[in-house]
Amino acid sequence: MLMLSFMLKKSLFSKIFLLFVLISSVIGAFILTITLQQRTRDLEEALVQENKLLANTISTTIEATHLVQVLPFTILKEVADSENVIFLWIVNPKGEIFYADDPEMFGKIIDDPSLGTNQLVIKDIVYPKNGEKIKLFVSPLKLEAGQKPWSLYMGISLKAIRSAQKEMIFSGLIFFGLIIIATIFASFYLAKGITGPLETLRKGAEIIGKGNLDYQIELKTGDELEELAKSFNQMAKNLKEFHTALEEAKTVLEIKVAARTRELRELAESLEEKVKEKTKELQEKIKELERFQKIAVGRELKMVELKKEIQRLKKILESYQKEKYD
Amino acid sequence: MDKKIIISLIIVVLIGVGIWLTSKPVKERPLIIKPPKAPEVRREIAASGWSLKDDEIEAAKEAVSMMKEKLGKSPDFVFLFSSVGYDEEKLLQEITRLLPGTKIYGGTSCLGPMTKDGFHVGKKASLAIMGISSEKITWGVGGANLDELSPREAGKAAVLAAIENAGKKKTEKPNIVFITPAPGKEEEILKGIEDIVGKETPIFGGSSGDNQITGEWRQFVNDKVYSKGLAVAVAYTDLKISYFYEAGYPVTEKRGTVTRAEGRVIYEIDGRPAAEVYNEWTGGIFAKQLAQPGKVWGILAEATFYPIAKVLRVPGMEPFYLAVHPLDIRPDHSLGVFADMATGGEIVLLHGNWEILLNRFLTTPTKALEKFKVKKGEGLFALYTYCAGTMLAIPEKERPKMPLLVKEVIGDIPFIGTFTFGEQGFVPGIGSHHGNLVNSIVIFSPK
Repeated sequence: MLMLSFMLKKSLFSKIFLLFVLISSVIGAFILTITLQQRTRDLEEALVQENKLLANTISTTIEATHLVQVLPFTILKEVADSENVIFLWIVNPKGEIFYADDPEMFGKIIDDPSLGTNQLVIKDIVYPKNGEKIKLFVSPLKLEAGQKPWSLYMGISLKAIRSAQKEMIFSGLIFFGLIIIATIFASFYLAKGITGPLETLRKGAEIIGKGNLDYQIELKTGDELEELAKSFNQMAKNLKEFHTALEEAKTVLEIKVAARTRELRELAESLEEKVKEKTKELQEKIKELERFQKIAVGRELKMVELKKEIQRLKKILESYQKEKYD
Repeated sequence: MDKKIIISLIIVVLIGVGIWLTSKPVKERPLIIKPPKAPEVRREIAASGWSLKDDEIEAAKEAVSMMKEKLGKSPDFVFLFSSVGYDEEKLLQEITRLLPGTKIYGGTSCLGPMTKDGFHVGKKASLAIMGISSEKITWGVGGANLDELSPREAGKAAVLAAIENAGKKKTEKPNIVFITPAPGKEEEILKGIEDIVGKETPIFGGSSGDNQITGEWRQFVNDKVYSKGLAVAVAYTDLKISYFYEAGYPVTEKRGTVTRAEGRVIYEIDGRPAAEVYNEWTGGIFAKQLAQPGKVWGILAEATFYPIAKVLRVPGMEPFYLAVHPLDIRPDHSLGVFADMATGGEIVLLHGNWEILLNRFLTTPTKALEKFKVKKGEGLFALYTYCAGTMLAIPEKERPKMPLLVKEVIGDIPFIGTFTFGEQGFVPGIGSHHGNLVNSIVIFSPK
């Protein structure tokens, strides 16, 4: 759940971190499994070799003691008492158990294809008495010349291997756990190593983006990220130069605008004077016309024309006034 | 596809590969074990029964019932061997009640008896019984009290009583005599019996034993129980009787002459204190006892693997080594033993181990069969006598195999075995003798 919530944050750090942890865990588990399997095979092979030798030794001893019609009970007992030996039987060619470490098995009949074998047979079987999977060693016993051989049946438990396997799994899991912890730390620092410079770049970009073009991103990773930081710094430098140039251009423009404004103001002032003069002239003309009107009553047409002229002049004046106030 | 799904798939695949690599397909098949072959159906003339019940009445009922079920009728004669721990009077009364008219012979066995079904050791006590019902054998039983008669006279009286019990005349020699004496005077008893049946009649048996050598041993004759007596059974038969009596220990090169002995004490071997010579022969295993004189040191357990054997020589025959069990080292460095020793007798050190002793359950029956040319399974019934000391020297875990090994040799026929404190047996040409650490088997079979 913790990992899931961590994943849901979707930060680059968490993604890289989890990826490293996952890959390391999977590889670790795989190596552990393979190692375990190989070790189990080695143990089984060692068990087979050891008991092969034991079966041959017992067979030889039984064959030797049979010459004086006795059985090597001491050896048989020692072997039967050993931890891995589940059963030890001497079986006649008919399949009857002639001797068994367990008295209950005396006289019972074995139905097995390896009975009477001329060479050592090793196979995996299920021991019906306890349902355990075991290794069965069937070794020939040449007790009677010219007759089918008797057989030594020796059942070897794989419990020791399974016990060793469990121990290996246990120690393997402990080791695996330690590896995982180490991997988590390593992944943390590795992810940090990757995302730290990026974070520095991001912060730098943010500062520069806010206008601090004097800010320099300090990054000494010796890789592409350092190059990128240098590019950022160069970009900021370029931006600053461009900004300076812009400021200068702006100043020039402002001077130019001020001069033009002054010119315009002066032009407006001169136009105002002219308007005033014209207005005065018009006022005088109006007075003169009014005077003429009084003088030339009957001359209405002339008057209309004059009125029109007056209207036209008023419009001009208005336009001038408007121009002036604009 | 989402990265998480890809990662999950990779994990699943890797785990799957791991599981596949570590697990193998199950192809093992079970080993088939069948019960032993049932013995051929034939008319049995003998059958055994046994019980581990604490109560003697219940034990008697169980054992007799088991025997009668197999035999199908009441036997003419039974061998009865029990451990100590029962009220023997009550036991014999109950068996007599259950088997009216049946002749009973037996005694106590160390720890318990054995039959073809196993070595029967109970929590408190145990018993085994083997009944025989055959027109081909005439049985007779007799007993004598050693407190009332000398051993020799007791031997005579008991065997005469048995012959009479068989309905035979004193002059009719039985084919075999079985004896169960109290330990102590077996040689004299044998002489008394031989006085009646001659030296050529095989005498087999064993001195009754208990568990701790505390004198709890008993001898049984019908409903009579002796604590210091002699039980005798005689058999008249035309059946074949095979037997073998041996110690089975390898003979060492350590040998000497008894230069002074009296009864069951050897004072000197080759003119030197017997215990000192014996200690030297064994490689010094009794040096500690010899270094602390003034005390009687019991050495039964250690001496089980180092018996002394009397060398019995008969012209034209291999010497017979009659084992004698050293009992104790005495303050004067003389050696107490479990059999009578004679001054001038040749002795030799035997040496063995528990493996040799367990092997005797194979070798002695094999020799009996081979010597009398009887095949496995041809026997009708058998009596096994085995020294209790040698039985105790066999690891406890291995003891259940004792009757099974006998069965492997003689086949699935009824037999009863007793563990004794001295064994008597017959060796053709040598005669009947009393020895220690010995075992014997007697097998009855058709001619």
